Amino acid sequence: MLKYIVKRLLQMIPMLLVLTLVVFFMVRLIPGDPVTMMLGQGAGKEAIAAETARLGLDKPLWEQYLIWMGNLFHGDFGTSIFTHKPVLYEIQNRYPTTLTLAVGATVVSTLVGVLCGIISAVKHGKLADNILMVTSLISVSTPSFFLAMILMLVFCLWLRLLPVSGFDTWQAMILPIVTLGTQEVGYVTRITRSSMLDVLGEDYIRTSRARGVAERVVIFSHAFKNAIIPVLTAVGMRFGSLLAGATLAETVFSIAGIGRLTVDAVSQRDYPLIQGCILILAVTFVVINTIVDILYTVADPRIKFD
Amino acid sequence: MKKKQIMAAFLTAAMALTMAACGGDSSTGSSGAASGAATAEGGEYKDTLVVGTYSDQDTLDPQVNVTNDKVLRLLYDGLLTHGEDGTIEAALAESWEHSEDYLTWTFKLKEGIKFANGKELTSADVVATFERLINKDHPLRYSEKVEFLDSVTAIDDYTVEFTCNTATPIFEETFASQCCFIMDADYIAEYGYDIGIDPATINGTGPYTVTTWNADEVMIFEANPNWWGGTPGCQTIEYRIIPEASSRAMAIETGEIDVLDRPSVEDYERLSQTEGLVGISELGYGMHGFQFNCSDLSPCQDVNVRKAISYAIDRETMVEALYGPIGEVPTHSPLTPNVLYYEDLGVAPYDPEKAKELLAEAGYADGLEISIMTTASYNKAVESAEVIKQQLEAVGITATIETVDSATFQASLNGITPEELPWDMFIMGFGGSGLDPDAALRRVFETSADGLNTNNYGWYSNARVDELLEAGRVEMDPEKRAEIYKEVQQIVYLDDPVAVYTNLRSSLYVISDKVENFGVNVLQVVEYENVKVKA
Repeated sequence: MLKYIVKRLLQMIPMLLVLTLVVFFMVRLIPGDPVTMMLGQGAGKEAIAAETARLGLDKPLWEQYLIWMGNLFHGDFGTSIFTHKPVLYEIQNRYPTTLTLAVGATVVSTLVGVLCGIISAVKHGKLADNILMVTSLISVSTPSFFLAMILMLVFCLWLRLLPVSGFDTWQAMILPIVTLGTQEVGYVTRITRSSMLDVLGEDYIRTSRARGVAERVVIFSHAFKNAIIPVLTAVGMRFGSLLAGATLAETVFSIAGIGRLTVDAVSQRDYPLIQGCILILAVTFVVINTIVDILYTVADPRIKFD
Repeated sequence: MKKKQIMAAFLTAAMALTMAACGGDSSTGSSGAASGAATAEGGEYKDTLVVGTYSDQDTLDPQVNVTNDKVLRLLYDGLLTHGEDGTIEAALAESWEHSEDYLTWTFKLKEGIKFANGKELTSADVVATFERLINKDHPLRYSEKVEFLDSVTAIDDYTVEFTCNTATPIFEETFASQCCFIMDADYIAEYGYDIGIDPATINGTGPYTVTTWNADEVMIFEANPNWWGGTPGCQTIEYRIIPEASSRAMAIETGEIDVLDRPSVEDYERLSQTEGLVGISELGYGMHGFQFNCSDLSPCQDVNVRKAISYAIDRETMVEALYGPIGEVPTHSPLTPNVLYYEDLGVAPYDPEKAKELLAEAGYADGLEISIMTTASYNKAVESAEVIKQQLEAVGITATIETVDSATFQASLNGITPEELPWDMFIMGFGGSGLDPDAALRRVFETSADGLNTNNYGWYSNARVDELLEAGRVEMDPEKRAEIYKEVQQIVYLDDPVAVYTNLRSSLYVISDKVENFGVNVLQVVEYENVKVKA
């Protein structure tokens, strides 16, 4: 197992190297540059030139890349052009908020989705199944912006139960998490349902039932245990997109998370910050997938990594 | 047995994730501490005013900040300031005088003024501030504004002398603007060009100090106990960043914020009619317009084409439709009405027949194709471009619209050559550069010396305008300056138009009816130190 984890981490290195190249050159291909953006219109040639030189943006691209890579190897992600603060500091400030949001949304949506999926599979073809399938379809297809606004209208404006902005109290966390998690509920329900349906059709389930094992045990212990792998895969894959896709919930609910940080960095062409954010998100994505792979072995001991 | 193992694994994973999540939370949620806005003092007024605004500040360094001018004056003061009617008054200065040739200016400082940290303001602070601004080795965003300054010297602890390389009528106006706000010499020595990046690097003489700044989230200002102007209306101002306009609107409806800075046009209409809320729309914040690319590469280099485009556009109808609900009106001049020597030239005339004639004269009787650049960062700027496109079609001009993001917009209007600017017209926000027409006109319409559009974004060039603007820069007689700027306005607005000016913008706010003394000053900035909120 340890060997596997180390192997996975080592595999990350070439991937990250390619990513640094792509990110570094892609951001410089977008029109616009950070200095004119920072100094504003009519900044004057001298101020622009001085700032460009100070930031080293007048150097050839390959040299800028090498300097950046060199610093990266020393754990230095550079300094944000706009805030003058280290990129790592900015990310540290924002990342935990988004992680809380994404983890909250994942946990809630997985619990609800798995439960709905199981019920749907067990009541296959019956009214409950139909209702749950329609509901999950609605939840997958509701634009989160629209959902956020409706939730705000109901819970903040009409019922006055929850705050409109922020993420500092548990009350403030509810709506962003629900907004982000709702689409996931639909996905998880559907995947759990189809996976459960496959398993419930297997011979060993019929045998268990024939042996008189309680239905509850058949479903939760025998069937669900074997249906969990596709669900785990889906949740793991979606977690990464939840992290990167939290921007919308962050904007609507005025949360200072890494999603907004990245989008703002792109719109300001804050090169070091964009690079840092994307690298960190990529690393998270790989780490989460590694964790999911490890969870496979827990869920199904037949899976070996060696 | 196996069931338990799976459950255990699940629980562990879930707990680990939750703990990671909770661990992070502590670093983000500091706005909660200050949001206890309801603690009434004396039962009559609230301690805290909560403002919901649209964007964060880039920096709180007055010599660099470009985000907006809404916060800096809470923290700093200049030597001079604007009175209610825009006249220049003393702020940190006790008195000031100039030599007969206007080349030497001497300022006496008020004695006993203290910075927020308790240190007394002396001439050393003034000298350090201006030396930082005029330092040729490290030009800052606003260094160009004081290009007339040669040196600054402390005569004694409370007397400072400025020497100029040229006599200028804009000396006092410049000294009253935010780029000349006075900073603490010790902080300049300690933090250098990092001043303004976080609360620890800021020490001013203004009514408030900033105690918390969580980027993109909240700024908290506490009353400066050492403020020389007395006691501000509220002990605390919480300045919340709520980027999404509809979320801001909802926040004022729920009472989470007391002041809403910049509602959308639609929200403004609705909120103004909501009980308990008041809409505030003050005309004069600046102007919008579409500037012409007058370079050799654009058909707009021909004055007849520019005039034709101008005649083709019915500004009254357009502005009424797009901006009517927030009380904005068409412009009457290339200057906002609060600027000195403003001339009311009326709305630029709409005459499609004349437009067609002028086009024919310019050799485009069979039609003309132009491109218009706009950006979604300005209120209704995309819609404006669409209206213009439609109206141009009626006179035989086919326009294509390109909507760009703000970084592309900024980079296009910052020292590039005509080859690099692909549009014939581009959206522009005018105004907001103080109360002297020199700042509003000279740099932006004077012929570019090096062929780049560093300030004159559309390569506008008119010999008479150049001559007048140069004369206005050094003419000390107000009456003569009035004549000069009257002629400049006539030329750039009508005779050799530089742009299609559209709407005179307004400062837009929605406030709770519990908020008192709220209003914008002559520079269209809210003087928050006067504002009080009833409990």
